[in-house]
Amino acid sequence: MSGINTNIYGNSEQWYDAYYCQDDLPQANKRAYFPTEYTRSYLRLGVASGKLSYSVPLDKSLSYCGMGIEAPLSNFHKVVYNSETQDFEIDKSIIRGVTNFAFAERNSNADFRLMWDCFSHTNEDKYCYWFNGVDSPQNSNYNLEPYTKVVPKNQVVLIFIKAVDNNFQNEITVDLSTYLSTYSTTNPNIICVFGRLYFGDTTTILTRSLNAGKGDPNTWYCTPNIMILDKNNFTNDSQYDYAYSIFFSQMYNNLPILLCDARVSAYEGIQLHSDSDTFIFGDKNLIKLHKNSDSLFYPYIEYDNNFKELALRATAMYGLFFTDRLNVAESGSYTNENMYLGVIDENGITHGNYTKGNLNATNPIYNYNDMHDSGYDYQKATDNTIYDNTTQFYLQLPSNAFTKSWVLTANDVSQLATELYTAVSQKDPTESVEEFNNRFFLCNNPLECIVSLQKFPIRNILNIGLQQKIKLGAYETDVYANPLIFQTYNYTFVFDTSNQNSVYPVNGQNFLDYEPYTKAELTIPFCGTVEIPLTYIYDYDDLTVNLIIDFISGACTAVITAHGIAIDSVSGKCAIDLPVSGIQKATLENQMHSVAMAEKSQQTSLGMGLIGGAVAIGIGLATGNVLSAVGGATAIIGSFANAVKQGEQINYDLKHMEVPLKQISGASPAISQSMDMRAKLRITRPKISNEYDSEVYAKTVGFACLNEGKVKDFSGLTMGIINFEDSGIEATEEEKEMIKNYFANGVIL
Amino acid sequence: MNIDLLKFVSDEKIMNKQFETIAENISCTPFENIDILNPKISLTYNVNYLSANYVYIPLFNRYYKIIKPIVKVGERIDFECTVDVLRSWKTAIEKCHITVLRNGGLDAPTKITDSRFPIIPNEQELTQTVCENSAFTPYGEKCYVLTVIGGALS
Repeated sequence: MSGINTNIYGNSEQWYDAYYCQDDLPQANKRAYFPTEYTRSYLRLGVASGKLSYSVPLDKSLSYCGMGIEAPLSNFHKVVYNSETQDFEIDKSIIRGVTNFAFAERNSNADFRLMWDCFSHTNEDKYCYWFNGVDSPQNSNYNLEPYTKVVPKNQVVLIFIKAVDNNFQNEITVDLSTYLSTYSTTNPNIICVFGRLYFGDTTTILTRSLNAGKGDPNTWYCTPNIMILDKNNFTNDSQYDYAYSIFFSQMYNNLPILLCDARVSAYEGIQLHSDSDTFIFGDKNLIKLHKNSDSLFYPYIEYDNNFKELALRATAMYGLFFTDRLNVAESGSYTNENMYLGVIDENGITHGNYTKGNLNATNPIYNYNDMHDSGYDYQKATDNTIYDNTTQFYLQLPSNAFTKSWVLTANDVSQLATELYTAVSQKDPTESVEEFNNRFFLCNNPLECIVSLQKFPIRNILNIGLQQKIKLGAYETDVYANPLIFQTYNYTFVFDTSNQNSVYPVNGQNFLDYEPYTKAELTIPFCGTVEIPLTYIYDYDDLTVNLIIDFISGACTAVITAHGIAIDSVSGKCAIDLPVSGIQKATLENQMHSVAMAEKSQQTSLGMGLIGGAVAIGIGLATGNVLSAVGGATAIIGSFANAVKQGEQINYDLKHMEVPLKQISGASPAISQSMDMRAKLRITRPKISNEYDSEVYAKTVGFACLNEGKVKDFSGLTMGIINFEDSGIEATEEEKEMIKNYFANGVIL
Repeated sequence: MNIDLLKFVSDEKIMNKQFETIAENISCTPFENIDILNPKISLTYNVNYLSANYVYIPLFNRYYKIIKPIVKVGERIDFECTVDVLRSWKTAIEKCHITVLRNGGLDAPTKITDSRFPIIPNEQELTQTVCENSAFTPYGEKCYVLTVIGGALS
């Protein structure tokens, strides 16, 4: 096979076939042979020898390379019990830029565990950290063999939900579609999202069954397993300085998707162990913790309209076929309207995107026999600078650049500023300033080490690597920060313009719902305002903004797509440059505070300007002549666009001023209300006169239409153009003229 | 010739008129030459005839609207009439093809632009929807990017 990294996975002759189902599949799924006895020790060697890097996708020879930073499994949180507050809380988080995982087979029939373990090279002890573990730590001495080949069409994931009611009782376990239609109001607290795999013979896709793996097919466990390959950065103990793996061994009940594994309810919650760490996974901002007892808790997410999309995207991270309903998992075709397929980008990373129904056939992995069919080559760096609205791209920073970028919190910035001053104070009095600076900072002035400091209006920058100490020149500070590993990052947010959202008109009912009478515009902070053709709001449910932020230059570009088609793009600069110069810390903070006040008033006036502009558009429609109304509206739109540009100019200038640390870290209440940085969709509609009565209008004026037919097909006031051909009329020409005139002015039928 | 006198109390634009019969089969005499489209006819006076406003002349197979009734000395009534093309040719007209540009049979505006539709020119209704999970927020935590010289991966 081409493209296999045999250094890691061994020789293909040593691989042997494995099957998902006992006797079913005709296609071989090769298991890679890791040439040493313990998988984890080979990973250790792999990293030490430079063959593997953290947070960089593995090569395509291992089935399913990486889950992007958006994946729940890339966001692990350690849960602890706080004896002061008597409640559970999240203590620390591990956020990986890329979570590498592989389907793996394990040669033991041991009970289900999800765990990680590490191998200490000092004392050969083996430690296990249990993830929602309910068994005591055990010796993890067994072989793991990853699959090199997982054919997408061999399996379908059925998404399951475990949820409880408001009192955290009456737990149900149902598939996603049943949950949404029946249980979302009675059981709004979702405690687990997991998947069950349905396997099938690809020649007869109509029948799929739950795992027919080893043992009784009626018990829903299945092989293979999934192995996540990563280093634990969780402990600061330097003994554990090499790679080991997190893996899900012998998925007893589930493919883990969100929050925790499905055995949470068997034990009334997740139990904290005294000698192990307990983790949950998912978006920290959504997860809440409910205390069942001092050692048992439920992680949960409250149901809202976004939940379905959340569950679909989390499942899409596996890059497999998946569905929300049982009949499709059992026997649905691959292009069934309720069948989804995860999208893997060219770098072998998933981001939660998926195709659905007929569009699955256009998904690149639809016809893969294995992951070698992808174009990904781990040895080539990606060089994607063209935006394609179907793929996302990551621009990887070259690793041996002359500059390096770090991601910090506000506190870190303060700490760094303090450190600079203390570092300079370490100069030996006999040493000259130039010598000292050159030795420490590799330049004449320590502040010249700092190329730029920018603040981004993002909660947490996610495309980061593991924490290290910041080095300025040759001087290593004591400030920890995460290096920026990808230059750009792509955020996607979706406006739901489907029927569920009552703010939007459901669809275009009549001419008043379309341009130029009704207008829709989308404002994306920092980038600008884009007019959205209303047909995209009425006819499609998925107005999407792909926001690409360049964390080096601070620029941001928003590409607006509807139904997969890019309709417009706007760019701006979203980062605020903080000046780094030889001023006192206090002065810097003062400057930042005054900018915040100016920014507050600016935000308010910017909003007013836009509203005024929108009203102006309606004036041109008063004449009753549509053509002139359009012309008039165009002229007014021109001045409206100018108004927006002016606002943007002001905003741009403002963004170059400093921003106070107080505002960011303290969330001062005076400022919070004005700083609305959410994208907004605005629709202006005409108002119908209060005197309008549809019955009277129908009888006196009649509704404008363009209908064709025979006169007998119509009723009421009818104005139109009549044709006498084929009518057999014997009237005189003069009479026919009279009839035509009658119809031109309106006849009551 | 004989005529029928009819009454109709609604809009003349209605094609399918339902008449009330005032008198049937009345004998009348024409004036000089008859214009079939605009006939003038003369009848013996009868007070009931004054309430008629339409005439049907079987000989011409047409319905007429009475536009000018004149009561004459000598107990006669003269009617000047004009043809009601809609009612007369109703059957044939119903078979005609028509492109309808305005129709009161609909109960709501369509997607065809109606420049007569009463919208208030200076008033607009503005609605706004916010996308709650748009990426930007002023409440950043780990949101500073520091670029420094040196510091390659150790």
